[in-house]
Amino acid sequence: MSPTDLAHREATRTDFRQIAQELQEALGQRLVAYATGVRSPQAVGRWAAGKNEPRGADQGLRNLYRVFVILRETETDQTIRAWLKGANPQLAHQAPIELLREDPDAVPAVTDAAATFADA
Amino acid sequence: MAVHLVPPPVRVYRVARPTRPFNWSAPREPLPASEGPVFEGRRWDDPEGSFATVYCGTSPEAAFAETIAPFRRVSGLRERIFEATDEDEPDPTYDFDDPEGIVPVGYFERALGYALVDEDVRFIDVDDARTHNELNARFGELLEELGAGRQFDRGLVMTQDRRVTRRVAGFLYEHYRHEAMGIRYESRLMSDLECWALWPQAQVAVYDVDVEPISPETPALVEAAERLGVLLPPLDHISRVR
Repeated sequence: MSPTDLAHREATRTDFRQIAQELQEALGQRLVAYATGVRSPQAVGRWAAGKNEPRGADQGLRNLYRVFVILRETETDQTIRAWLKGANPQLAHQAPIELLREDPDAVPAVTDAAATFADA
Repeated sequence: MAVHLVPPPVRVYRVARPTRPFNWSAPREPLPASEGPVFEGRRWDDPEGSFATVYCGTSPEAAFAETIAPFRRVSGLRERIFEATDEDEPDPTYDFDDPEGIVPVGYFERALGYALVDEDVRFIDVDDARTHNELNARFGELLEELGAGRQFDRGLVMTQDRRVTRRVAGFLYEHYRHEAMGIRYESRLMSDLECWALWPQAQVAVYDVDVEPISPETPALVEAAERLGVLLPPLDHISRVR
């Protein structure tokens, strides 16, 4: 199974509270909120605390987690944040975080770009 | 009609994990079917996902440029993030405000790998007009798909649409793998940087593999970063990851 398939499997099996906890700790609330289209970064903290479900942001959260799972195998949290916000040549020089937020169809390309980077 | 074959450089360079600088790891996913542009995979990956390709540069600068490019600043992104989110009281534990456009410290866990290349092997030069002629003759259907009148030239082989480049790579491998070890191409980032896509059979042609650590003071990295407009972290920050 490829790293992207493994990440997809993990992202679909992990519960939202754990996903939110890991992403909150590694990426920060604001970046997670931005990627998932949520206005309040503090909402991410509430998901992580199990106080709320990420209604309407659930798929976005899983998509972001897929990318995170691929990168965390080899990269530090700071590197992952920098990679998410950088102008990626494999993604037509767009930032992965903006593609995750704006275009669900771009998720395969973003996960693939993450696998490319982690592989180097 | 035939593709244009060129000799390799004396040495090739790539930035990678120190333990496996030249690693023909698992092949990438097959090229997905799509009527629009596709970005999955690296430029010259096999479209069938049946073999792996290793990417190198003729110079250390080429190797660095290709790997630090994803850290270039996206204009206005920080402002867009702040406009789209609000927070009356930022939580210092969970609100990072990293500087933008800087190579992260974790990058320096990688090393500069290099190896000699057998001078007798050959690579296909995809920037040469003779190779374009061959591709134009063999890829009528693909050219039609891309729009009437399109021809392979230096511009088309630079496309980011992997439907084009990965299919070209698959074609070249299928028809020329007994004559060539891979593809020679120009970096999309800087025209003076020469790169090489090495097919699996090149493993026997790459020898004397070695690695050296990299730092924010490595001259070729400094040069690549300066040209790409990417900042490097202070040297004393790097010791924290070693």
